[in-house]
Amino acid sequence: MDQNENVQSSISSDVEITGTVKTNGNIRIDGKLNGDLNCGGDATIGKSANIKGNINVNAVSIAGSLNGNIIAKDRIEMKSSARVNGDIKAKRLAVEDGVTFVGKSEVNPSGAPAAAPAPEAQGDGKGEGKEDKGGVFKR
Amino acid sequence: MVEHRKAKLVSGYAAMKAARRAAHDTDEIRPEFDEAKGSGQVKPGSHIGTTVLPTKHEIVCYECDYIFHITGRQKDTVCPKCRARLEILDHTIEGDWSGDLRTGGTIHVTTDAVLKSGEIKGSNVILQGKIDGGRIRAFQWLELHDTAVFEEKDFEAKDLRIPAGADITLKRKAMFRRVDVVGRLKAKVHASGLVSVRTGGLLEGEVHGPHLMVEDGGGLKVKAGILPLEAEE
Repeated sequence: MDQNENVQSSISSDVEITGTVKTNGNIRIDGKLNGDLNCGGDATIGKSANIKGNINVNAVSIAGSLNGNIIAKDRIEMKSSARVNGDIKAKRLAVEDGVTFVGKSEVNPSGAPAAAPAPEAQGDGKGEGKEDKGGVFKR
Repeated sequence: MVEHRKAKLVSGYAAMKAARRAAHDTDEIRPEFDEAKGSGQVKPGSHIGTTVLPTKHEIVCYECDYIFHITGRQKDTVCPKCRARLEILDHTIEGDWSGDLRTGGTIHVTTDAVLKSGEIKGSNVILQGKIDGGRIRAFQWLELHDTAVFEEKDFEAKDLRIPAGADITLKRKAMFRRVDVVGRLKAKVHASGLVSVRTGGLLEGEVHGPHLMVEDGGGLKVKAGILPLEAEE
């Protein structure tokens, strides 16, 4: 069982699978999958991959095409060539510019907005001695 | 008698050296550089500096809305289209304010400021205070802080920024060119450019546009329609 966690299964670009794919380890898909993917480890969806089905993984990196929902225990990463048509749910999310994404997203890593930085000396608008300072208006 | 001009003394060896230098420019003429060549050192006289160009700034004329660029930091400039003299200074507003203010720089409306009437026009506007009768127009970025009190009809901006710590809800459809979220924004965002959610930020509601970027650690609880222009074609 420990060996399975380190082994990565691979579906190359010329392979087409119809049905559900299940694995406890990691998997890389570059081919076509018409069905669901249940992966206990991390999944990598290559640029040439085309998946029509849902994905349940620990973490996934998508560069190809997916028509279906994604549920990840940890992280979803969408590369710039990714095309995702479906809903996504994960703890963490990273999306590169260029992604095509239509669907709903449920990702909230912290559950709270980022804290404001500690107050510092104010920037350009305030303070004296700056040559290009316009003015401080008080009435 | 013929006057003889003084002639410079030129040795034959020097003449040969000069001719060879002009024709070949070989290392024989400069033996002292042989060592430098092999050791990776820079040859004396080589240009090793870097050229730094001043930053270009986009300026929107507050008279005719013409967009142009200037290089470097200036206090004022002239619009190339309408020839209006444009001030490019940063301003800070504290306390109550009534009247118009126009600049190509940044306007900072502080927490205790209240805009009672008039129009504030700036390249960038940082809103921490209250809009109570006045109006804000940002030609580029509008930054909404948590202490800002406003109605959405009171401002107009090209780009929107939500800084860290801010928790902003917009009820109307929010149409901007770019949106940058570091804090929390709940809105129906329609962008023509890039929507970015930084680490620690959270975007809720809807987002539609051609570009979306979420940094690792950014939150996204939206109904999304991100279609790059190439995909639409």
